[in-house]
Amino acid sequence: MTHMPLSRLCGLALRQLLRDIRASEVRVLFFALLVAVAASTAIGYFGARLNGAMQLRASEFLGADLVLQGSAPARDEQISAGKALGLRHAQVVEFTSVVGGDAGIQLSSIKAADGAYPLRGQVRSAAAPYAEETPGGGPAPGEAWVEPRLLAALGLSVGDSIDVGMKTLRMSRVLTYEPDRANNFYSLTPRVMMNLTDLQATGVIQPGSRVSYRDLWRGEAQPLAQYREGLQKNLAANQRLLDTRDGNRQIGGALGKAERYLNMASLVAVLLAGVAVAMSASRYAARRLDASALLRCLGLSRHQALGLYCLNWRCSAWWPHWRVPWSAGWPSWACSACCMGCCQAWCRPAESCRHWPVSPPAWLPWPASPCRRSQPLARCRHCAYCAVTCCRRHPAAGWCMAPPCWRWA
Amino acid sequence: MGPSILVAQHLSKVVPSAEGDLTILHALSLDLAQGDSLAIVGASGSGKSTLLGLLAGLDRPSAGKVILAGHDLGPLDEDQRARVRAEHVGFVFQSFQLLDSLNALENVMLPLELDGRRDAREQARTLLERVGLGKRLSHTPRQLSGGEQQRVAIARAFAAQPAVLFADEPTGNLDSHTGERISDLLFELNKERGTTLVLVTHDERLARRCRRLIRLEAGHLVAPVEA
Repeated sequence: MTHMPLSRLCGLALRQLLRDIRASEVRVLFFALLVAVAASTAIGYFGARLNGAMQLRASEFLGADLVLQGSAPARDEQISAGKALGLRHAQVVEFTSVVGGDAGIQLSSIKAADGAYPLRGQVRSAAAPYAEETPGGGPAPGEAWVEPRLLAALGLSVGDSIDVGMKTLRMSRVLTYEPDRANNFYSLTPRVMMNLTDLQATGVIQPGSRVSYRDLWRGEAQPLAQYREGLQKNLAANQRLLDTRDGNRQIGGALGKAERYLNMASLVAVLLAGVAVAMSASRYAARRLDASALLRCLGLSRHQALGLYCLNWRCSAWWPHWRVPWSAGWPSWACSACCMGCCQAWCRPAESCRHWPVSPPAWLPWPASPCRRSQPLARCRHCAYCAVTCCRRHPAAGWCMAPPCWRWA
Repeated sequence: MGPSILVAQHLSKVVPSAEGDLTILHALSLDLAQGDSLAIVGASGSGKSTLLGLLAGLDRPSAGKVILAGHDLGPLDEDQRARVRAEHVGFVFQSFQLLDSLNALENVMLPLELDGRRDAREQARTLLERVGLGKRLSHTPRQLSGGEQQRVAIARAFAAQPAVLFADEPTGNLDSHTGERISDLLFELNKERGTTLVLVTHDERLARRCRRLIRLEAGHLVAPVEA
């Protein structure tokens, strides 16, 4: 046995693996691996999907993915930069003004929106108060969609006209829902939605008017992030950027909590997976201590023993790899190699002789024998002990193994 | 008897303990010829198994040297000693040390496979038939009795045709009748194959079957005896 060729070592490893599988030795480990990987994969995948769905739904409360809001219109270069990145754009102007009808006046919250509004979600309207809602669309030039309470306050009905500043608009439909309707000061008064092209004609926007200009953007995550990054560098003092998190405080808070919960669930799944794999690998390694010591007694060198078990485990790690394609082999190998490598490679043949009543000092508790100063027999016991029972006695160590394994995967 | 196969010269073993250094073996010497048989007897804790470990190259002496099959084990590192063991040494353990995941045939095949022997299966089958287990080839250790397991272990030990066979309490876990049959088998194979036998035992009857016997007391050789 002066030199064992790699082919013979591979053959031995494969035969040993097949015998282990036949003898149910590795089934528990394989099962632990499969469950761990399947659970972490499922939770990760489900979490990602759920998070994506929540983000999408949350963006409807904003009417867009990203909003540039200010008390003055956005600069041309800000608009052109977004369009150059392929982002979809819509413009909304909101202000409070008095709306006049034949029977009186009413302070109202006016929203002037262009044809692209909204970029996320849909406006809903009805032909008459409490009639069936119809999604989509928006007021055409010369028309206004109003909330039912404005009709009641002014004693008007659909089809009548109202004056917004110097412009007379015909109330064509009843506004029942707008996706980005916020719970703020503007929502205290009845909503009037008009077309942005009519805004100039109303003459209500004057220097010093309290107006909110909102530029809505929608697009893919990467260009959106790029646009956001560019905008943040040269935002004016009166401008700010809103996304699904800060566009609506309640939604943003709930979203944040949900994300944290999902992240925590994923992390716990990974930790449990790591612990399960580490424990089963540890058990398997402990059961292999005698076998590896026997191999050493039969004349296998440390390197040959290490090679044999590494090959054995590389073979075994492929098995779950075939079934769960993205990672299973590597965590199994990582966890088990830590235990097996230390145990099998450094376990000296005398380790097998626990049945030999070896001298009392060699039977001192393993941790009491420091590696460097102890006798070889005690040292090899110490090393093997540390590797095999590390996870068992110090769960934190097992947990520490999980993130690198996860990262590795 | 043939030339010396196993020589120990002034062999000592000292291990550190909380109370200071503890000497387990005191300057022990012996010389064993090819084909000879030696029994090491003594009370528990007298150093029998430590001596066996040193003679087999499983452990290093604190002083003195061991020459096994012409190889001085002192300067050899662990891997080189493993190589010497592979070529010249076989073991029989008290608790058999069969691999549970392997059946009887595969357990006996193991040293032959490690040695790269192409006829491992046939050799193992022949040996198992020799020890009377020809019909239990596919049985795993759990399906075998203690005596049968030890017979498999003996077949495994002789499989690689070692020059020296070390046996630690080979009948220690067996009843007297089974132990007698196992020792018969051990000595039969020893005679057939010309193997040198070194065994540690508490069993005086088994010890007396060896040509030579040494008795240890607290690490001292007190009674070298030629049987």
